[in-house]
Amino acid sequence: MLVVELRKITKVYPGGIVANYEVDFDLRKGEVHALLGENGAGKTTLMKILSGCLKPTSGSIYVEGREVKFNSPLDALKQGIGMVHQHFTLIPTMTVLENLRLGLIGQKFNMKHTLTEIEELSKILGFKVKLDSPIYALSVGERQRIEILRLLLSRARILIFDEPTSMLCGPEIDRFLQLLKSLSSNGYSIVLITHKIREAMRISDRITIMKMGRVITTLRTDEIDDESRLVELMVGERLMPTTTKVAPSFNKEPLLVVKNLVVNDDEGLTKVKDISFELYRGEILGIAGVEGNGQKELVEAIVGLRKPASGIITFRGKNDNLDGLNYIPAERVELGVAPTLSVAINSVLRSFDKEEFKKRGNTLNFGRINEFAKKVVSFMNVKTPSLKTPVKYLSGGNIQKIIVGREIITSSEILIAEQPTAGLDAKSAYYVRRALSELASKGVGILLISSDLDEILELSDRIAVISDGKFTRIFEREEADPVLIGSYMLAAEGAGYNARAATSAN
Amino acid sequence: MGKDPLQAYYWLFQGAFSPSAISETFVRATPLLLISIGLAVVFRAKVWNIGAEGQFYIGGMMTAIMGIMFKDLPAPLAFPVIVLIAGLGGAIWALIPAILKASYGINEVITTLMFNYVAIYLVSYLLHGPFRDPISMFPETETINPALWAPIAVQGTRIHVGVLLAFVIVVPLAYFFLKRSAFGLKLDILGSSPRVAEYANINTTHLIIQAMLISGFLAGLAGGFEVLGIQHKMRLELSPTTSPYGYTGIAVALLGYLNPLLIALTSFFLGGIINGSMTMHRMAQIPVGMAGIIQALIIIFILTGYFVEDKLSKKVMERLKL
Amino acid sequence: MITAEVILGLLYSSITLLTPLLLAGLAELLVERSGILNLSLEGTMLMGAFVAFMVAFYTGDLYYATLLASIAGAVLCLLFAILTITLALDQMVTGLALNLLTIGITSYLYRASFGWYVSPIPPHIQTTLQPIEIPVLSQILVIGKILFSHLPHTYAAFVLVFLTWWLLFKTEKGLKIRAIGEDPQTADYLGINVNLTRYALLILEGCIAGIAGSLLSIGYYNMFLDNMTQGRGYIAIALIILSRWNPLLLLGGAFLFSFIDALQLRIQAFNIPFLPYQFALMLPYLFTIVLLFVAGRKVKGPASLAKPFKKLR
Repeated sequence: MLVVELRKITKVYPGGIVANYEVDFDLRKGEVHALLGENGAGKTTLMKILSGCLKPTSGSIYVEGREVKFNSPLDALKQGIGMVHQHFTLIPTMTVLENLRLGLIGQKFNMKHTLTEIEELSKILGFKVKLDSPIYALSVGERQRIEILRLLLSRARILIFDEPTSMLCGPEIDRFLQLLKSLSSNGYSIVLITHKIREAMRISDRITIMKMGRVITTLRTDEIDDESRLVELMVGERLMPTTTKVAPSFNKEPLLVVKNLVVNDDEGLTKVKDISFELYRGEILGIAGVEGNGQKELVEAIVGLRKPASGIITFRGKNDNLDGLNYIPAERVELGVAPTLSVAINSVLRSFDKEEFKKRGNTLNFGRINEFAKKVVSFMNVKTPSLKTPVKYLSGGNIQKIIVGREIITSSEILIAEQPTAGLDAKSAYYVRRALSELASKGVGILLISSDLDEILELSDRIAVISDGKFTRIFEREEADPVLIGSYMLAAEGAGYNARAATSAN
Repeated sequence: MGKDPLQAYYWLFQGAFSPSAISETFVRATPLLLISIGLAVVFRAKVWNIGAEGQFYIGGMMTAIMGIMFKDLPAPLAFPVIVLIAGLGGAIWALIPAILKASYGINEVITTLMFNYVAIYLVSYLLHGPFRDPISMFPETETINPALWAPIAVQGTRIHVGVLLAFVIVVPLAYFFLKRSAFGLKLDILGSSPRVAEYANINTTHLIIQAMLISGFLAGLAGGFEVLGIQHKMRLELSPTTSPYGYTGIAVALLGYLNPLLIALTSFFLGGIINGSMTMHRMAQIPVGMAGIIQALIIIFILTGYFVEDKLSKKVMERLKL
Repeated sequence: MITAEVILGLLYSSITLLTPLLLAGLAELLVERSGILNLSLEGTMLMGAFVAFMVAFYTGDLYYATLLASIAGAVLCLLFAILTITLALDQMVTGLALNLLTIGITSYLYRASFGWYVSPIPPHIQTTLQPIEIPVLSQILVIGKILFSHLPHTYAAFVLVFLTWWLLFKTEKGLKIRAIGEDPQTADYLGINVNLTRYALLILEGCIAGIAGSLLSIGYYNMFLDNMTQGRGYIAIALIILSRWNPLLLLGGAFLFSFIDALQLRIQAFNIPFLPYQFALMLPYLFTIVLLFVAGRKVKGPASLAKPFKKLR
């Protein structure tokens, strides 16, 4: 029986990007349906339409055979459709109970009744809920379970998960997939958005593959005998060649030395626990790890945006010499540009105070600034009406390009690149990767933080694996192996799992 | 009220911009101009110093005290020193709110406003007590030695060197400073987003304090010139009661889009309205508070203007499919 | 000199002075909890004071005066809401602009009605709001007079403290308001009408702040003076910061402040030779700054306070 059917859904974003084109999709009662595809294939957009977050440009939605129109996520929820997003919709300063209650807005509320229901549901789901704990004190996994619990409380029968395992590590992933199984056997219908083929194979009943905004095919999971066929369907032929890294040319001259670094987050939780490493001239040091394991705080401490609790950070042997340190932040729009200022100014946001952009009398040399901005714009193919346009009027993708381009082109000795290619189209991503390799061969030391393990493997000379605020191991390029790295990402979760993964790798 | 509105506006215009009134409009605009340029510096960084009134009064008071103390010094030496001290007085008055804002994150709107009241009462005490001119009926200081007065720049008018300094030197200097220097750019970045400013390697604590000091200095300077050039003594009504310079300066700065060249125009315009509404009042019995209403309404229009500009730009961008 | 009577009098006038601050502060506290910083609170109070005085002067009816002060306040806050919510303009700039606007309008209309050359005795009203003695309770020894012989506004303010606290922390409405103030995007996602809630709270604030302002002109004085709020709106905002956006703590903060204010009035009255009255007048303002320095450093308010909200869809 079909609980949901999407027919000929098309979504065109303002600005003309076609995210979905005439997509058909259906969901059966009690199944786990994996929606598989690369980043940017249009999976999330399609499911945001189904959950009422976005309105389709055209096409229709049927729930249990009746056509429906959603104006808000609440409308969808009333039809029993709920979504767990990558960014949780929980309010960190509020307690678990308050957040659960926020999900029940517009429904009759009876505290006693709700409490018993929470108890029953958490028994089915197999976890305990700390109702009085504020959200910020919970782990990512716990938060995710609260999101699920909230949807179940508000009578959602169709659950959509957007890359739910990307923020989880080892045992939590297993636990989560178990949870999905038990939900589906309890009659819930589930859509799992993922780009991980293994995960889809392991858990789903059917798999729908999307590519570039279209559905390629829908398959029954038990009829698939060759995973590599899925890869072909997902990726098609490669658009761009991968970069080939020349043999490491770096000498062992440290540009950046981090010793026994401990960093706390805003809530006072220790996120970086005693990390020490050196970044050498001309190398790319990749930091691999599941998001939220201390990467953010580590980087913020190095670039001086966050005061470490203890430990030493030295640049070329001198304290606090930040000259020549470039930084591509993961929070592009929030941190990387001054939104009300022009493209030209934003192209020199971190370097306008340097000699090259000054004239006599300490005034800004706008000629040079514009020249530089032109370089950034043409290098990254930024689409902007003029260099004077305030960046707030540009699309998110173009803002990304300005930031990445600026930090790559501005001469530096150290470059800290957080998710440098996230959100970029394939061509730009290729240019960025190539530029990073070239910079390294010119002697720049690059710290590459990415959740994309392929990118790290492709570019890095050494790979440090971060887990729960510690470097569990630093691999040399030649000994790096995806499975082994994966096991070290989860190392902090206990030696047992680690050992198991390590054996399976051999 | 039943008065002929056309006649009233005629008097408004006569009192503001007729050839005989224009020099007085320049005189009236000068404190507004100095204050609002200072405010433009902090407002660009989205630091809301509304304490210009207090800084202005402290500048005026310091000037009077210095003028009385240094009355026997040779004027060419004493005059610049006194003017400088007036500015420093204003800057010091802005310093505490600046530090509280920059280092402790305490809301500057509240602290600067509180300091306005403290300043006015302090001045009131000094004028009623230690520095009161014993012969005068009013709480005011004695008249400063005429040798120390700001020299008249245009004969037959009250246009003094301070007016000239403000319009001819401060305006282009401020324009250059805000639009062409790295410091001006830093203010803009901080105004755009404090977090981005940190990312752009800007020491925001120092920047906020520096901007506040400049702003206070200019307000103090305005007070100094008002005493040395116009009043020749410190009085409690150094600022017109219905449109106090320190608060009107906020309107002037916003009207001028925080751009010194436009601010020169808007302060001239508002100086004219203040003078004109006084003439209008004298000739047509229209209350003086009119100036306050006009300037506030203009701010609302300007606010709406910012909004429309934003919408239009977005429309254009959508057309261009970017 | 310092007799029991003086101290009792001091406490009594502290509670009197507390009322407008507390009323305005509670209303603004709710608004700030929803993520809006309304600096025009000062102007709203001034408008309330002015309208109340004018109505009382021409009709002699203090109820109409209060009612119209309340409506005038609501209109002003509605204007603020349109500018900052619908047009998404900067809340700081808009608040400051509206304050300049009200100072201009009130002093203009005042002079338009009474003429520029006001006689030595400015126009005043015959009767002002009268305290209501609560039977029985007001007879309690010592505290009876201090607590139970006030304007109805004062009792209302005290009730409102607990009502506001209850609303914010014990009801679904309060949960919604706090959710909006912390994260309007998420609140919107969960089906809460962010803009409608903010509009409603601002209008409510206008009503209450208008009445709070009216106390000055028809309660404590019998006349209107230019800018007679003297920064009380800003002080209320400072007290909200100190109270960490908690109504119960706001009561404490407002009392402390009013006590200093009452004390300063006594100092003026006693005419202490070594302490000029101007220094007494400074006291409340200096006290606010010191309080902010001691207890208001790096206080975290609602996460979305004073940030514009745009619906994503």
